[in-house]
Amino acid sequence: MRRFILMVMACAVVLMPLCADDGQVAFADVQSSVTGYLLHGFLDEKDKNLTDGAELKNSVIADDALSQKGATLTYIIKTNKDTPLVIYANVTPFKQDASTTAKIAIASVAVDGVTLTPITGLEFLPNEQPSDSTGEVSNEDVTDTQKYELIDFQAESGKNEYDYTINVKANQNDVAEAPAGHYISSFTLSMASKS
Amino acid sequence: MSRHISRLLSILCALLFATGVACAASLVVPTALKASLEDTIGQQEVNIQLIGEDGKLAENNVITLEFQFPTDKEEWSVSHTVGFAYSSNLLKEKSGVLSFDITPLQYDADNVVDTQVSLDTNNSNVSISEGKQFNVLFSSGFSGDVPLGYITITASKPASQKLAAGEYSGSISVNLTSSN
Repeated sequence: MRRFILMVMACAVVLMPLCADDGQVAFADVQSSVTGYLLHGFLDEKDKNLTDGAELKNSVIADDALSQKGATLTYIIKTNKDTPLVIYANVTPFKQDASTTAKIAIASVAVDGVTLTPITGLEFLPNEQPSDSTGEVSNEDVTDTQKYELIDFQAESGKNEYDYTINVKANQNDVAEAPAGHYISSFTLSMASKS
Repeated sequence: MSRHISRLLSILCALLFATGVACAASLVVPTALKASLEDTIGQQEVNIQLIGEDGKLAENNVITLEFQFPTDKEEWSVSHTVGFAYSSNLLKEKSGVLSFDITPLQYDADNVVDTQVSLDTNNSNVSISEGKQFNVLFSSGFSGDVPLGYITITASKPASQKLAAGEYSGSISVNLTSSN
């Protein structure tokens, strides 16, 4: 009975404006709110000089990654909420596409020029993987993967874009003695809210 | 009855309000991002290096051997050794032949010292054929300063031979031919 009354009341609330008689004035309170948004992505190399309107990418490819300078990624967070966030990265060693076991270790990961130390023994659940992944991560990769806490920050009210430059360098001793071939390292970046 | 209805309405409104507040407050954490860091290490062809008797790699791949001929003996032989190593970074293994061209130590056409070579190797991928060339299987992947073997050059003079005093010179050149 209560459920029936509840349903009737809900319908009544919805239909009330439609039932107003001709000549009567209907009032409605209009309330709205600005919804929060939280976006992140990489900037393509060609878009780095764009000040506005550059599209954020879920996945990018960085070339010349075995050079002494390493691979540089431009990472951007956009939000209108003053929320605490942590950004994690999982980085696999460079491996050949073929069946060889040749690997090149990651020498360093730096954010805005600050070199980071890998974190161990920290468990976290990565976000859902992007659908257009650029490479498969095997079980073997998981054991080789280094985890980093890249960025730990509090988004400020009134500021809505945060730019970071991430640099990943390969071990140059490994590069010098690595078999010829094409090498790929997978860099996965996930975000967690501390709130 | 009307009290019940108004109570239900207020509960409904409270629930709707709470849901709205919760939706507005929570942020959806975006999906993970993925970057593929890529590069290619190019193939490096076989590079033969000479190793001196001091065990060091020769600069510019040139070694000068100085044979001091004994002056107090009628019959003598003097030997020097040169080692060989290679560096490469091959996509596929390949075989090659390291051969030597020798001109004997000589002062002039009438004063020539007999000059012989002998080869030796400890590398299981190297074999010696006809006593004068190395047959080498160059491995795929990176190989840095891998010893191939060494060649011993022996200059000798029998007691019966008379040699003019002076400076004798000869040369040995190394040739590499690979099969693929």
